[in-house]
Amino acid sequence: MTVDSLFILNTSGTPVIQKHWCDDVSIQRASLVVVPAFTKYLRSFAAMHDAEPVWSAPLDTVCIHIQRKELVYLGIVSQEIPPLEVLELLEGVDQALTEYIGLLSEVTIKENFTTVYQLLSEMVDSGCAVTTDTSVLRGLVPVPSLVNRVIENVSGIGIGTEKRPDVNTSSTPWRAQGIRHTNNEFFVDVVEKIDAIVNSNGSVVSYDVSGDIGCKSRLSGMPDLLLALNQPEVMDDVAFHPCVRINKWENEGVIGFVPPDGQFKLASFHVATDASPRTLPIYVHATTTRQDLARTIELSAEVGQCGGRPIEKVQVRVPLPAQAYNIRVQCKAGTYTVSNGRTSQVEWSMKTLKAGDRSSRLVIQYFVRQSAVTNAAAGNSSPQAVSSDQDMAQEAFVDFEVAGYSVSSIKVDSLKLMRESYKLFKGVRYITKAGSFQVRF
Amino acid sequence: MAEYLSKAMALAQDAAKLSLRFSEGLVDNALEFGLDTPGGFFDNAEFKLTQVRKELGSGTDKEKVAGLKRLLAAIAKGHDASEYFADVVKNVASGNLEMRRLVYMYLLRYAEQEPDLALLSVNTFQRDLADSSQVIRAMALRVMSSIRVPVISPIVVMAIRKLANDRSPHVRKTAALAVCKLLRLDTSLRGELAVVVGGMLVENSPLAVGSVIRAFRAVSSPGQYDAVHVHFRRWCVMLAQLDEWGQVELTKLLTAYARTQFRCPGEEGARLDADHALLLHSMHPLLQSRNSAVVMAAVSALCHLAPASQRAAVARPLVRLMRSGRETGYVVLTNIHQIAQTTPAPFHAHVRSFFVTASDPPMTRRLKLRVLAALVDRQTVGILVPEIAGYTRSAHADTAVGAVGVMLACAQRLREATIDCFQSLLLLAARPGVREEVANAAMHAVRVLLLDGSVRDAQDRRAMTLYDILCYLARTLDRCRADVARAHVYALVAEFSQTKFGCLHGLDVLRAAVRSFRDEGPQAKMQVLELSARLMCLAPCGGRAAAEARAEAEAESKNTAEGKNAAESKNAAAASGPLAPVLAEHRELLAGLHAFAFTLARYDTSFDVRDRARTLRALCPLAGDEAHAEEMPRVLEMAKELIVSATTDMPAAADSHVLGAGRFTVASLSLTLGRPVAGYAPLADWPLENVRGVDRGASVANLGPGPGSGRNLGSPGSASIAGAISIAGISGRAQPSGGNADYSTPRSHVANNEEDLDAFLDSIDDSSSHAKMQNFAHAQQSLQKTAILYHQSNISSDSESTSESEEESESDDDDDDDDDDAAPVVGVSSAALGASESSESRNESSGSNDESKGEGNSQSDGQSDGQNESEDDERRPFIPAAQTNRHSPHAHFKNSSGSHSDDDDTSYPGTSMHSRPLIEDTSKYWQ
Repeated sequence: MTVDSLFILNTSGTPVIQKHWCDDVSIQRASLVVVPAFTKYLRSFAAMHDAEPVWSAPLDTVCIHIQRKELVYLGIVSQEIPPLEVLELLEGVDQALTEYIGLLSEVTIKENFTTVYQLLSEMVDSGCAVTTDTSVLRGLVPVPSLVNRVIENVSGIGIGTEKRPDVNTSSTPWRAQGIRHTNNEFFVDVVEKIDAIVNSNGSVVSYDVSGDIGCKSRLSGMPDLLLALNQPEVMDDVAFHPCVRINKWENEGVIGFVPPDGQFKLASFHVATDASPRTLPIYVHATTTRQDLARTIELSAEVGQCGGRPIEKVQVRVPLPAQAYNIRVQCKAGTYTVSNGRTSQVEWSMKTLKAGDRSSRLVIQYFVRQSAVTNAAAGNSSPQAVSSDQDMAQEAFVDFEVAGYSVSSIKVDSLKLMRESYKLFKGVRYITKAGSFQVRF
Repeated sequence: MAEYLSKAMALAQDAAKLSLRFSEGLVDNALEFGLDTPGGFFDNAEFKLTQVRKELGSGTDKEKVAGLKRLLAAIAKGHDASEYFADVVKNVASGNLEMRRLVYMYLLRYAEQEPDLALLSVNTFQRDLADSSQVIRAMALRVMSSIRVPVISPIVVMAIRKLANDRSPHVRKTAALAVCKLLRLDTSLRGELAVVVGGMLVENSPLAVGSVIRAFRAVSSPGQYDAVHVHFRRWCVMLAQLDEWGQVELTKLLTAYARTQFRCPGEEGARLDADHALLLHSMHPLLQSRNSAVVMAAVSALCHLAPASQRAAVARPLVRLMRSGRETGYVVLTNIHQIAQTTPAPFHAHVRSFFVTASDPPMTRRLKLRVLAALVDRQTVGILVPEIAGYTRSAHADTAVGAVGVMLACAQRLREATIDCFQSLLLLAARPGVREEVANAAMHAVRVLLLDGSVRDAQDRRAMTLYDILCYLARTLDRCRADVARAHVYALVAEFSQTKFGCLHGLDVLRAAVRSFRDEGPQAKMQVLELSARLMCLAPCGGRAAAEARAEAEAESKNTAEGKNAAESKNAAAASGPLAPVLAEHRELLAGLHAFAFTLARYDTSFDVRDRARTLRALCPLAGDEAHAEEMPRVLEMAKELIVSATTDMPAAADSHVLGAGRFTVASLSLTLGRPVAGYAPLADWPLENVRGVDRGASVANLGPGPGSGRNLGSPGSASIAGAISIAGISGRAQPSGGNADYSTPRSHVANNEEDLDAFLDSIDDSSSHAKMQNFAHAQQSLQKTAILYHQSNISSDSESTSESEEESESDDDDDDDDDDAAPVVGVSSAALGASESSESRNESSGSNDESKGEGNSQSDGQSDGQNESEDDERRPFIPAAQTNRHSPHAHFKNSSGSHSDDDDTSYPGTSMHSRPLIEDTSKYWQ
């Protein structure tokens, strides 16, 4: 029912950190057999993301891993344990390390490896997750900082001795007593993501809006906040931070909570939407033509409905088939890059796209390798009959951001402060982004 | 100007070089002077291990910490640093907390190897257990209980007992966790620790409850939940307030507990026990947790505890989790896949969420398509089919193959969509330029649909007859290059060799196949051999004596007069099958083709083909081998029957990897892997009645809004419902073979499904759902009958009017029921039920049934002769044509394909399922 070992690997599969909660035999087994096998498994994929997160490893063990930026977090289990518990633990380790160390990489992990071990020993006890809440951890393990490091070097003693670690055992474990800030501020970010698949004829195949309410709290004392939304009923599925009183939400439709200090995700929600809406914030049209071995894709981007605001950071990514060569791109607005990896892809980016902009067009032209065509047609009497399913690029991925626009039109109506008497500064931002936004040709 | 610029450039470069060298030098110096750079401890750990002993023995904390860090870095890299154990342990009592933490880490790693030295540290821990700081107390206990040295376990038990009543919940939590660790080290302490944990169950702090529950689960033996009763209601209410990991633990415990306490919730209307309702109610807030493990635990609880009406609540959170990332999404999809098999309805509204996007990794694509196949339904089919049609052109072969699987599910489950899907599959299999894997999968689906009767039973067949379909398939052999797909076509020709198509063109197909034998793939070669062998066996070989011998053999085996009669009549029917006269006429040609194919196969490069040829040759000797035939005619006769009646092996589809074939507890690792993992224990079966008379703690009447305010009395039988649910769970996705129960029949030598499918066909067609066929000759006859029924464009009405047996009308009623039933699954299960019902009575009454069946058969044979006069008319012109073409038979074949190639430039129907009728012209073309 526990995790046997936890490894943090770099992208080439070499262990940077390892921690074990099992007997000596299992330690040897994990580090000498299982991890090398897992590394081999990871490398067997052209794209590491294609590896299955839950993998049956040799010697009756199971490797459960997540990939985050430059690191791979690997948990090895040999007994039945819900895989999501392991994934959630690994995720928690990643978040805690990010909070303590900042930008995570092999180098920064090595620099702070004692912090990593301290965190691991507080978060996991003999293979069972104890806590993954960073606000709890902050009380137990001192956050390394430049100042600490200087003091450490000068005095030879870590700052840990200065402040005795303590655990908050109150009913609000996420918020310590006696927090003080000179400016009392509270910021809310409503970030919405559009997942959509648009067909070649412009019809919307699937469309989904989900969002996060992120908060940044710098409030003194024990504030109790009440956040009201203009139309809570459009959220058909909400997940909350543990600080939120779910009963109050169910009964009154307002979010009441005692916030943790610092940055946190208050809620994530899904919006009940029309499965095929009449408008999208952005339209990307594509026309494809083929002539002998030449293939041409013409892309154009247009602003749809997004509250009259310009669309920023527009990026259209077109993966090209493996047979493509001699790729030529013409572009009237924005910039493009052609990357030649295992398969080529064209990336077209524009800083802003304004309504009524007609010049944003991109033409991609490439040729298909002869051999590929003849292979596909092998044994076929008439080469013309070969329908080239595979030699035409099939989709484009679109990425964009609209600041100050909420696609679900959810707005924060009010934010009330209770239990504290000071004046607080409030700020709300809305951003609509592309999630997985795919246009089929 | 330019000169000036270049000078400036050079200067800048020099400066850059200088600064680089300077900084390098600094680092070097730092290393020399022992000033470690931050990463230096890690990177240089092994080079400086020699210093460690000196550093650990030095007077300053700073040097000691540096030495310890070096050791830990070495451990992190996987080096063995155990030799410094003694030097490290003496620092365990240091006042510096950071240093002590480092010492602990080292200690825990190597204590197992150095138990004696580890004992030295125990004194310090015991002192710390009484420290004023809760963190120190907890840490001391945590480290002490983590030392894997059995000698100290009595001391640890004492410490746990002491700290189990500590005033700080943090320490109590640590004490509970220490119980788990100690138990893993020494199981003999179970009884002692159980007492301690029993006292801890009253824990009220949300911080510690989770760990106490964990300890309780570790200590108590499975199924022992007596200690839970008193706390049950309190825990249900408390659930939402616990920390996340506590919620996970408590949910797991309550789920297992409820399965031993309450009886199975029936379908709608059944009233739940108040406590059961309270539990379900308390699970709902967890579905809104941000922690995926919590959500999944609650989903698992609802799936295994709630009545069907409440189970719908799990769909939305699951879909949310599925979107939340690659790794979580994968695990959640495996769970959705299993849940959707039994209860697809809640996911119907989210069907678009399972559409494959091009950025999905392969595992996600595969699972999404499986879920889509499970979600095929009358509501969703309109959304699904256009989308799925697009997938068949996907750049990813696995997506296209998966899409074929979804189409197959559509065709099998929705009668009104069967023909559309079937046509699409036909076109897809033969589409020019289609990928080989896709063609294989599509042809596999075509074969499944033809064999399981879906196509024949479909509504609105648009005058598409089996003959037309087979003609079309035979023509695809001109274009289709995929080995497995070709193998499927040959297998189909063999399977339907006694139909009109087989009579008219079976030989032609064989001839073309033998001619192109050299270019076929191994799978197709094997099927060609089987086809050849089957035609050979069906050809009357003048072995009248052999047939009699067979009849005698069967009579012996039956040992009853009725059996003999039945067998004889069957033999007569077999000998006078529609194929026989044709084959008799072309016997020499057939024998030549047969011998040629087997000669080629004998020298084939593939082991499998050679083996298959050898086997078939032994069963069905060539002309030269006839000597054998004299020796053991009966064996050969039986071999012939085997070849004729056995449907050929269906090559596994590319998509045959069955995920989660068994049913596992939702959220478990075993489910995700699809195999039981060590330590997996399925949930207990529901008890027959609610457990009563136990005190489940303080009454919380106003908390549970559950429908049952009091104890419920007498609702429909619970155990049988549980059984029914599990059966439905298994049969929900099973192919509508309806003959799953048939594995117990004497036809055990044919262990593949299709035999059962044939039995299914029989049970509907042959007016004998009660009298299952029991021997080969019968199976063979049924094929004939299937063929005949195919020829009649309307299936039931004519045969109903002519055949009078009661059984027939009964089975026709069944058939009608099937038509009326909205959900095809129901139809299937009713057929399955019928089969299982009849299987009991089958053994005793088989003789009499056979007799009546034999009569029925002969009747319908006569009828078919009468009705198929028009067919004979068709046949007559063919035979002379074949005769004229015999010397250049190839021209006929090729000619026809040429005349149709332009017409057949198949545009895949894609989004609009109502394409033009694809096979309308084939009949005239074949004449």
